[in-house]
Amino acid sequence: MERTADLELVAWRARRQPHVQTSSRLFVGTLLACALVSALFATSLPLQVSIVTVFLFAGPHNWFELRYFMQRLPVRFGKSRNFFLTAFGGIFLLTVSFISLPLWYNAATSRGWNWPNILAGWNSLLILWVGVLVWMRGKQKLRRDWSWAIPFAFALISVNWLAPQFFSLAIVYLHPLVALWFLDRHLRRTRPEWVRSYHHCLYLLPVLLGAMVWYLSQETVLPDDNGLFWRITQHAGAELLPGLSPHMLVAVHLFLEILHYGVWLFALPLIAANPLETKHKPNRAIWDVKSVPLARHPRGFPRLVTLALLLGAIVVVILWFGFSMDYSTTRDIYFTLAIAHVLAEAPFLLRMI
Amino acid sequence: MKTTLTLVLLIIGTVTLARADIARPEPKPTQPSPAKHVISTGLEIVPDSKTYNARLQISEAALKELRDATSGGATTKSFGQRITGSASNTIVAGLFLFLSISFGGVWLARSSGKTRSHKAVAAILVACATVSTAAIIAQGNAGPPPSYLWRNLTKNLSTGKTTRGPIDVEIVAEGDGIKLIVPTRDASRTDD
Repeated sequence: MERTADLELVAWRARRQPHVQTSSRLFVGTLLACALVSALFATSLPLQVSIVTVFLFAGPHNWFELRYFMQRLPVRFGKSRNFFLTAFGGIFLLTVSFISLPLWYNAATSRGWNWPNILAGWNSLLILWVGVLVWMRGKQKLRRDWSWAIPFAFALISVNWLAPQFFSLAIVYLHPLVALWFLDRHLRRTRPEWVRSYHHCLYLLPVLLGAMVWYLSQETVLPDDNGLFWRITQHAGAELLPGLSPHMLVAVHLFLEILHYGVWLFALPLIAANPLETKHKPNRAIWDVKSVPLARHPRGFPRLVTLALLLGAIVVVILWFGFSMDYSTTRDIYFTLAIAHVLAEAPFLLRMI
Repeated sequence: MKTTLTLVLLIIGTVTLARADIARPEPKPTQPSPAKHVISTGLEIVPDSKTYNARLQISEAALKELRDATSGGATTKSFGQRITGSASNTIVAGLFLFLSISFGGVWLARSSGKTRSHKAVAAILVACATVSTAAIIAQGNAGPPPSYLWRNLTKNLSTGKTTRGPIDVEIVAEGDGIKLIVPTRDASRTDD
């Protein structure tokens, strides 16, 4: 019986091999084409493409992240209760404190406080929170000891206190790359045969970034004579790094942002679950609430999931409306509130490692 | 003997008189007081064929930074000195570095009987913490020199293009008005 099963599996693998190669090539080709086109657009028209990209994709990508995270949430926390409580508590407190940072800035400037110290304090809380999450996640794994996370977090906090504004800028540039890590973990689970090709594609990333930096470092400045363009160049760190070309900074940041949006909006939703697993289960549409296990489970919360996804969709529409009416203000509000999704990525990525 | 003594005294006396006649050394020209570095920021030179007068535009943020720096006493500190010169920041950074090394040491001791990879991670951790702090203190000269971004200024001025690069704002005792000194090195030179 076992031999018969093995023979069937070997035959199935043999039949499947050409299909795997073709799909892998298609995947690699799509990735490379997207990366090259993104780099080209980001290099040639950074400010214009940045405005259009944020307008179109910022809100929807947050909705897709919300849906993805809800797909990853267990119905009952069980032994992970403390991990999730720390995660959600940290997301809430850090988001609220981040939103209140402009108030702290006003207080600091009027009362003569040292503003970078306030920023360093928030960064320290963020690093400590991530360090504790890594340590807690490590405790759930039998064969791994992730206690190094605490001393590593302290070392990072130490560096952060020496240059807090640069540390914040580093988060701006590193956050888009987290999406690529999510894609890696997702592929390992659903399309393991693509992982190797995907890693080969990742080698192209530093090459593209290096080429962009080399090409754009000789470029003259970007026109930041209006408020919106100025905001975009400041977001990319033009004021903190006056020795570097603002064109290059905006283009590199935009390129990473486009990759980030591309992963959340297209790559992850389009890569369905493992074909073996979905053979007898039809793929559900992304707007179908039952596609989220938390809603599908008999002991789940379908109404809560529906409400969350509906509210998310309404926020996306409000964002589009806001961008149409007053792009600069909406952009500022969005990037302040969007810290919540940056924070939420940490615990859910840890759950996948 | 008396004659010899008299001659010696005569020579000594003559020499003293002769030395006294040497003109006093010219007073050294007073060195101008060194320029005091206030802030480092960016400068944009915009050729404009439509304007009738040269204008100097300073952003509110830069003006505030300049005002704060001058009211607090102009300094000649560089970036590295500024971040390491802040006493409170250095103390907090040192405290967390101490905690990092302490916790890392405890973790290393507890995991010493386990795997080699733990030791490697601990060594990397301590090395990273030490090197990263030392690198900032040592003020490593990363990136191209500031003159690199100004190399096309002459060409850009003639073609009406904007040029942007880093600038150090300094306060000098002599002169009046505002003086802009821009490096105009030949872009083709590679010897420096």
